[in-house]
Order: sequence, then C-alpha cells, then structure tokens
Amino acid sequence: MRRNSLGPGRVSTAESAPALTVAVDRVAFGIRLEPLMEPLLKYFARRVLPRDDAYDCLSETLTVLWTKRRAAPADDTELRAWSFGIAKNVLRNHERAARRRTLLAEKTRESAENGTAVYDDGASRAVTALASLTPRDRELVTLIVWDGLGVAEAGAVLGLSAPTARTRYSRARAVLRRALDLPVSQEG
Amino acid sequence: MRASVAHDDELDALLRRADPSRSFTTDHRRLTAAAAAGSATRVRRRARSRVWVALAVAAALGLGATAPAVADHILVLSRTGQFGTAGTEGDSSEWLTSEGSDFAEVIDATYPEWLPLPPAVDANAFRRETVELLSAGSGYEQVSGVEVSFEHQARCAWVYEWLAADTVADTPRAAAAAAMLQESAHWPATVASDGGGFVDRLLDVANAAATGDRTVVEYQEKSECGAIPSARVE
Repeated sequence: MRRNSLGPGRVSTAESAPALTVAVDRVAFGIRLEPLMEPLLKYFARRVLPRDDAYDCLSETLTVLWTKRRAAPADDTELRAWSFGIAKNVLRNHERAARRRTLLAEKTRESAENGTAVYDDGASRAVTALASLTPRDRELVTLIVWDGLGVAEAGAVLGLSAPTARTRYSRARAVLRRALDLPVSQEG
Repeated sequence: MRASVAHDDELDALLRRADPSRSFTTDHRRLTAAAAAGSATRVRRRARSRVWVALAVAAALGLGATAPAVADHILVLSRTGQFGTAGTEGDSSEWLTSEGSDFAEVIDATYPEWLPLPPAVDANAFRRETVELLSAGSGYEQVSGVEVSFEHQARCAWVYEWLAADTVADTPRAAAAAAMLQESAHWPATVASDGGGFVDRLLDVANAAATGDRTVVEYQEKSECGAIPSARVE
C-alpha cells in the first residue's frame, strides 16, 4: 500500500534499481534503432500514398519495435531484417485499416506526392518492368535495390530462406533484363 | 564478365530511377517526432501498472473474489489518462488505446454531433460505420486523431455529393456541395491538425468543385475516400 502513497507513476527506492536497468536498456535499444529510422521511413515512403503517411507508419513500427524489444536480435544486421519484417506487417495493417488508400497503394509506383507521376522514360520502363514481376519477387527486388537490404536479409523479411531468395532474385533480374531489353547476364 | 557487370549496373540504375522515394524529402523534425513513438510504450506500461495497483487495493480491502472483475474493468479502459504534449507535431488531447473493450464506445462518444452530412446520407449508418472503421484499428490514437477522421469521412460524403450532382448536371446541388467542401476545410480538428498545406490542399479541391473541375474532385475521391459505404451518395 505504501506504493499508493507515493502517488501515480512514482516508485519506491527499492524499485529504483530495476528501473535504472530498464532505463539503460531503453537507451541502448534507442541507439540501435537510430540508424534504422530513415531507412524505415523511406521504406514506407516508397509504398504508401499520400507519402506523408510514411511518418505515421514509422511511428506505428517503432511502437511495435519498442514493445517487442526484448525479442530483438542481438546482431544489428538481423535487427534490420527483423525491423523491416515488422514494417512489412505494419504496411499490411495500414492498407487494411485505411481501406480508402488501398486503391492507391497499388499505384505507388505511378504517382508522385500529390498527383501525377513524374518519371522519365527510363524510369517508366523500369516501373513497367517491375510490374511484370510477381508481387513477392517485386518486393524482393525493391527491398534489395531500393531499401538496400542484402539478398538474405530481404529474404528473411519475406519469409524466404537465403538460397530461395538468391534463386528468386536472380530469376527476377533476368525477367527485368528481358523486359528492359538488356542483355541477360550469367548471374548467381 | 565485365559486360555483364555493366549490364547489372545499368539494370540497377534504371530500377533506382523508378524509386518513388526519389521525390521524397525527409522532414527530420517529423522523423524525430515519429521516433517518440517509444513513449507510447511507456503509456502502455503505466496503464497496466494501474491494474496491479487496483488488485492490491482490492486485496487489501478483502475483495479478493472481485479483484479480477475490478482489474478487468480497469484494464480494458480505452482512455489512458495520458495526454499529448502540445507543440508543432502534436496536441494535448488524450491518448486512447485500442486495447480497451470500450474503444468503440469512446470513439462513438467523440463523434461531433454538429457534423453536416448531405441530405441523402443516413446519419446513423454513417456514424455507425465510421465508428466501426475507426475502432478496427490497433494501437494508440489521440482523441484529436479520431475527430480528424470523423471530419474526413464527412468531407468524403460531400465529395460524393458533388460528384453525384455533377453527374446529373444539378448545378444548385453541386454548388451547395462545393460550398460545404469549402467550409469543411475549416472544420476545427482539420485546422488544428494542419501541419502546413493540408487545409490549402482541401481548399484546392473545394475550388475545383466550385469551378466544375471534376478531375480534381474525382482524384480526391479515389485517393482519400471509399471506406464508409453510407457516405457514398449516388
């Protein structure tokens, strides 16, 4: 009952040591998350419209990351893949919850911030080529080329094993080269 | 092999040119604000701590048998008792949590009774469907965000109203809808949440409606509306 007498949000001295540990953990986790902020923001900026919604999606992702931080991988590369995996789920929830935006979510590669797409010829051809891929292969390619993830990392985000991700990525690039009239190279 | 590398570079370069984020400039102030999402976790911890306090109180008062019930009622409250900090990126309204079983009730209680709707819209259905939509979300939401969403959906009803009037060339009805769209840009939650440019964009849509520019109004409908069936005026 003594705890109540301290008032809301107050803790006794006996509790302050664990509280300090928690505070240190929080700071450490915040430092680990910091380099992921902008990449995650851009992940959403590439996939939601209006693009400003990317900030809301990022907030939601960070909330989940903080909530699940005890399950976060210790390795920073794995943390990145784990974070993008959570971002992917937030993106799906965002599209489901904001049904009015679902229509536009399909058009993220066609439209700029508040209106018409501004793509040069090469970019337009690339957009068309990307559209020819299956959604999962397209996501694999864009996670690697746009978001800067490694092949295995991107595979982990999408629930693919590293060998499967490599195979699919190689195959997707061959499809893209054909669509863009680029010579097909012997890759991976 | 060198040629292959060159072609790979060319492929990557083309793909990067199609990256939609090339036209996106990070607003670092907003990025910092988003990073504050961790505070929501602290809100959750405080909300839960109240349950244990409630259990302790109930036990001390000899209410062991009823303690779980007491805890349930406290645990499920959507109103967190935590308020945002007023500033450029937030306001001081209360944070709600979707964990509460009374979430839909709290959202319904936030409904702005004054919100004007087109005559053909069933107000009760509109309110019910909007509450259902908003309470289907998960996580934390400020009261101000709920208010903005109500205003947004009502604005969509007027977008549909204008499109329907324009389709049948009902000029007076279209003019009334355009006037309401103009007015809706100044609805309180909308204005309060404008971080810069949002109200202006709504006014652009209203002006387009007033001048009969259907393309702009249709774009608004496609990009922002469609979640509330009863708002759709045929």
